[in-house]
Amino acid sequence: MRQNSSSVEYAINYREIYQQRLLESDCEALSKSALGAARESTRPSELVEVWAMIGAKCAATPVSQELSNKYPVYSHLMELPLKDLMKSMALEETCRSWSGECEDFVLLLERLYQTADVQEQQLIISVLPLLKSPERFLYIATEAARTNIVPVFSALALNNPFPQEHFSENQWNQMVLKTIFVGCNIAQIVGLHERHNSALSETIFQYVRERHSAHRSVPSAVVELCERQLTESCQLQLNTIKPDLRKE
Amino acid sequence: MPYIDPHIHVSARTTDDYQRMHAAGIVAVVEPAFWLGQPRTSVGTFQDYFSSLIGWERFRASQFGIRHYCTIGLNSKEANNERLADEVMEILPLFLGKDGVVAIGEIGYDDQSDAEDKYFRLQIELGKKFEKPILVHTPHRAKKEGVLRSMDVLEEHEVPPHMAIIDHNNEETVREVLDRGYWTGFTIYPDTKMGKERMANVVQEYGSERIIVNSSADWGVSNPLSVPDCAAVMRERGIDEADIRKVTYQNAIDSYAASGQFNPADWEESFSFDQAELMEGNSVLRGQAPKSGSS
Ligand SMILES: [Zn+2]
Repeated sequence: MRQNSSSVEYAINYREIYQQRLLESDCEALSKSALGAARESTRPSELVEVWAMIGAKCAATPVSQELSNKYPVYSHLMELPLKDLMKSMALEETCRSWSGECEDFVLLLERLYQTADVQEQQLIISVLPLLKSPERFLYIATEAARTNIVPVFSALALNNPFPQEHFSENQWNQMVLKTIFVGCNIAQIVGLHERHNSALSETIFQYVRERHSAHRSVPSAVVELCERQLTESCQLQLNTIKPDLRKE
Repeated sequence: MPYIDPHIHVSARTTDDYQRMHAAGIVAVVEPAFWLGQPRTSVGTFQDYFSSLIGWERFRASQFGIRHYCTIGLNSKEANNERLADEVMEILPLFLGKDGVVAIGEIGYDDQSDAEDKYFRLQIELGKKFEKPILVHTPHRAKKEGVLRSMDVLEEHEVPPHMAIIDHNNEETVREVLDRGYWTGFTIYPDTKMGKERMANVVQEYGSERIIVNSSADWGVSNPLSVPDCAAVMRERGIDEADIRKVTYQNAIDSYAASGQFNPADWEESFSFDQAELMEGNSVLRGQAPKSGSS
């Protein structure tokens, strides 16, 4: 059960935040008609049309301070433009009311992802944990883990429970390493401690050594993570370089 | 002074170019979908190309402090492969309604073949459906005839002139295009065709109303700094700053603004970039010292 709680919690908060941001906007009628149209959509082109309508009509609305303070952990959902949140909820609506073959929805979403712009790829990744049987979308999440477009990668790696629940150990380790490489804050990875393993500690240790040789700095959170499951011999080596390691 | 290059195929340019463009004051670019120097043979390569225009290239430009927009369309050269052209027409609607897509284009004539005519007209109708401006590429051979024919077809399809940009003009075509009310684009080439000096002459003779300067820089011999370079020549000539600003910045905004997707606020206020936030191992920066700045 522990494994699932982050996804469940994420989904509840995601929906709540959407509802409350809607209340602060004057886009409730638009949301109603867009989600209605999404319910009827069975092809990528139809959902793309719904998205285009949302993009054209949903006005940018600032989030109130009060609402921001209410969900400190979900600040990234507050920063997302309302129209992107609405597009993601339309997608969720299509998924929930899907009556065709299960496999066909997966194909639809893959096609949508392949033809999406940067912001749309981000919102698809953000809403994955809300979709029914999210393990079906492992391929899309894996593509996001591979991308060079940092905002899309961050939508998966940071504040998103999907990788914790569905990534293999190797995928997980690669994602954490890439997060370190791109300079994102690893503290925002959901399940960082729960999924930690000794292989990852070893690899991070190699990284720390490389950075030390190149006289480059390492965030202290990365060193701490490295030390969580390090073998004794590696820990001894780390201790010798630690005093002159440049921390961030 | 800020500049916009409203027609440049930046996918074909290097990171050095992006750095020089940013340093020269270019704040935003529009990359029209075109061909890649040789014809594609499957619809999948078109799809990936369009995706890169709204994805990777948009991100790549942002790393250098430049806002990237694009136009989506089937170019005239590749319209001549009709079987493929039909398949491309089918996927265009997947892209035309996206954020940052400021027009349908560049479309029009190359050889002025029947197939080119067919897909030009189909795409004009598609542009009307999506309420997008139309970016018209005019042929390098039989230029004047091609320009006149393009405008005739637009009028046949009842496109209001403020919704179309007729591009790659020269001294022979400028009068007629301006008189008929269209946005009038000029491409500055390094050697032949239209050059900076001649462009300055055009502005001195015809003024700055509805005239737009671009580089159309691509994988061929071309200059991604054509717009700021041309502004410098106009300045030397003593052309009024207000006119220079119009032809190298403001008219580009006004022509694409009808798309609802080209908003100066995107680069004026909210867009500051910090390369330190970006990847070292996987970005185009690859371990270079990050720089900070705002555009
Ligand atoms: Zn071009």
